[in-house]
Amino acid sequence: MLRKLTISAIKYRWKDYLILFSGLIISSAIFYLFETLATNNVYLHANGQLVSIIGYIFSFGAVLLMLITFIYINYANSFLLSMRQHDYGLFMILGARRKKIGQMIWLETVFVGIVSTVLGIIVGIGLSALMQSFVLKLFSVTAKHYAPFWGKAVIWTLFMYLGLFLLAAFFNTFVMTRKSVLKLLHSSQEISRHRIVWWKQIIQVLCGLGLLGTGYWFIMHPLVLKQQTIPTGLFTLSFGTFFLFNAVITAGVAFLRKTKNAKKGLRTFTLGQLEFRIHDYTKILTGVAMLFALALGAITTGIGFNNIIEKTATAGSAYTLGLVGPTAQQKKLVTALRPQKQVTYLFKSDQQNVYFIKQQFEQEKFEIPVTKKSTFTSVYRGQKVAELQKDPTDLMTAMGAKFATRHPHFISERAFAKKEGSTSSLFLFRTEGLTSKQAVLDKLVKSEAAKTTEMSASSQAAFRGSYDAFKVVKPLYSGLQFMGIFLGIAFLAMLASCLMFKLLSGAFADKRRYELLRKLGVRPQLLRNAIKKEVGLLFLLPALVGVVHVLFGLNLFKGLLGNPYYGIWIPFTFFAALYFGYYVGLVLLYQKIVLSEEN
Amino acid sequence: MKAKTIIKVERLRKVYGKQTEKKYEALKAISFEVAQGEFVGIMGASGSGKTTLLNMLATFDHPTSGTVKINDTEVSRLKGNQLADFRAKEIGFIFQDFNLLENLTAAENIGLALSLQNVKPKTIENSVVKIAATLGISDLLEKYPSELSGGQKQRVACARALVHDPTILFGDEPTGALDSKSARELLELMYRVNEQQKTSILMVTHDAFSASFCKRIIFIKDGQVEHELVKQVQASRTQFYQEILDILGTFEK
Repeated sequence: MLRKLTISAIKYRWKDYLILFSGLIISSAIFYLFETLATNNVYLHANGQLVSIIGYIFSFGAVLLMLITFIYINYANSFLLSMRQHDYGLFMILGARRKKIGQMIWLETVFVGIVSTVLGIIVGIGLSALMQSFVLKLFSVTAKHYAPFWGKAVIWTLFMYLGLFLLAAFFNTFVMTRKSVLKLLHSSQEISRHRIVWWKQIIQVLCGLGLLGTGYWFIMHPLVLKQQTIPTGLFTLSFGTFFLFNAVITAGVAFLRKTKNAKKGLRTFTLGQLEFRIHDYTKILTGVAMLFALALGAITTGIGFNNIIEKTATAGSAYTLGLVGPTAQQKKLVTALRPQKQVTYLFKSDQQNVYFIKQQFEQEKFEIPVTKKSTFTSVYRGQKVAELQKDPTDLMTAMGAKFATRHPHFISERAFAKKEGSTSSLFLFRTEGLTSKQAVLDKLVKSEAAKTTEMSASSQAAFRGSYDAFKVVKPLYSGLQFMGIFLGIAFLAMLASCLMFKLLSGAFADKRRYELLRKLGVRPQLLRNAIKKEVGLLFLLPALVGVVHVLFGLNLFKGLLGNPYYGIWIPFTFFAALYFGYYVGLVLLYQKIVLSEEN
Repeated sequence: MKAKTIIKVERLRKVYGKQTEKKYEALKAISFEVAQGEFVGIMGASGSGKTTLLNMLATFDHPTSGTVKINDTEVSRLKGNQLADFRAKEIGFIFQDFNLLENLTAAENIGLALSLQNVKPKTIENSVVKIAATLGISDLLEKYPSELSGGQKQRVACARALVHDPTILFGDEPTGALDSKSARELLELMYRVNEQQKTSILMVTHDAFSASFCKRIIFIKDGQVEHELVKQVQASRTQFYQEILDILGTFEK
């Protein structure tokens, strides 16, 4: 009989269970995703040669994710409890023994845990395979030694989630079997409103600001704590954020409610909702703020690695490619690349020497890159012929392996005309944004290689220029780039599921409130706006804190990226667009649930 | 002089059940009128259709056919903003289970309807204080619903329904969730509001005691008007109560 009741209860509340399961599945899938990187020693080792602290970062990332998972499961569990309390009360009235109820609760919690964890791992394997191909396609980055199905990750995810659910099951059994029947029956009518004493609030504000300040200071001065900077930063910023939300924002909302402006339209209602919720939300908002910072930070650094590949390349040579005797087809391809600079030098050659016309180099100086150390950006400087004669390496390598070992001579036009042999030309060009132009550049390299195979066997990798350097550097960084983008997206997904879970778990309670407001004569548009505002604040608050965290946090990557703030508007815009899109989606979903019976 | 008609119900029908399902006719072409300043009770047993009727009068539900006019406005034609504004301006509603917003104070609950009409905060405050004084809840204004008793909650709800001076106050078993003392207090309050403020009230109830505070009672059975009873001017409430019980007695036979 009890089993029948349980099953019918699940059928009746399948929507709630759907939210519960989808939330838990996403969470465990993402945990799995993270673990496929974190526990893959071969992969980490292969990509960690450049950056010794990578493994270190990962272990602390894992700890943080566990913390967030813990909060997440805590929420999921209280959601499950609140869903079932009424039913359990009913069972007790029907004469079920407490021991029996305890067993049921225990079994149900563990069952939910096992199903969602196993499904989560399956989804996780699919997701990581999808991510791999996605990152490959979008950034043409391959990660060697990365495997979507990774045994250790499976074991860790199972261990972590089942462990937590077992804990939750014991907790639930303990709580439920100690509550009175009436309390269980009327649990949904209870509401809690916390009031913090003012001096406690002030202490929290001071703690929060103090912790944040300390965290930021250590991040700005990473040499003080060296390796300890990251764990210290994570610790201080997490708790600082928590205190900040707990004290400052609640006080802010309470203050806003008292102002005259708050009395207009539905603002009183929205602020009232927020004041009641924010306590419930502080933990999840902290988690979301930290996830926001991690996701944005990871994506920014990932794309930063992309910049560094190009920067390293452009620091190697002033020209992207050198073409000897370019064909019309090649010229056409070059035009398509929209080069910033192109120059052609005529030359004649014999077995040991290459002859250039001096005047040409005086009119169009041959350039070399000058790289600024602090920002790791390069400017280009034209060389005098005398300098070029002293060190012609850049010029000669640009001509390719066939000519690289010959001696350059810069002679007058008249002397050049007298030299024997046919006149050939060296065409040099420079273009920016190599990553996006790889396809065309590869074509050029191929066609140039085809020209020279019959002349020299060793000319395969001979086409010197920054694109060559690009090709050499890219594989070194692509593992890190993959890691950054991969983690960024994983954290973003975790953030998304956290927000969705928390919002939707409140949506059903809200349905009644909005229904009532409609009966009181609130315009549908006003109701929709109120939802937009309420959800918007829950998105905006952690985003603001998260952005500040990232701006400070990026400082840690100075050693790795040179100038980690270079071009951050690109990842920031990308991220903002994703985040905003998600906000719009959630608002629509929320409106659909809450305002479903609109007439 | 005859008072102005504020509610006019004509041949109102409501049929439940979709095309494929078995149809159930909850209301069978009901017609009646309510004049300004009346206190009308609608009585009937469970399933008689009284709540269905009230939902349609209060614009919460659409009739299958027939019309409801409040203040000469055909309410079933209203949609969207018009409907919302109509509810906010013309109608006050007291629910059986109070339906206060638990995250707002009593004062905020009462003032909500006015703030939606973009009334100035100062004016809202004055109106709230005034209605609270009338209903004797001035000392409860800063409290949250969770801190109030059932009777207090219903009085706050009553204040919320009256603060915007509606054309008609609807009550859906307003005493249903109250103890007898609170119920009597609320009914006396409604009676006073009707007498002194000349507010028109239409209340649904199945309880003869509650109904005895009304001035006219429409009895509904199986979706039709079965009987109508008007309180004589000289009759006391107890006498009227007895009359109601007599009618209910004949119903059962």
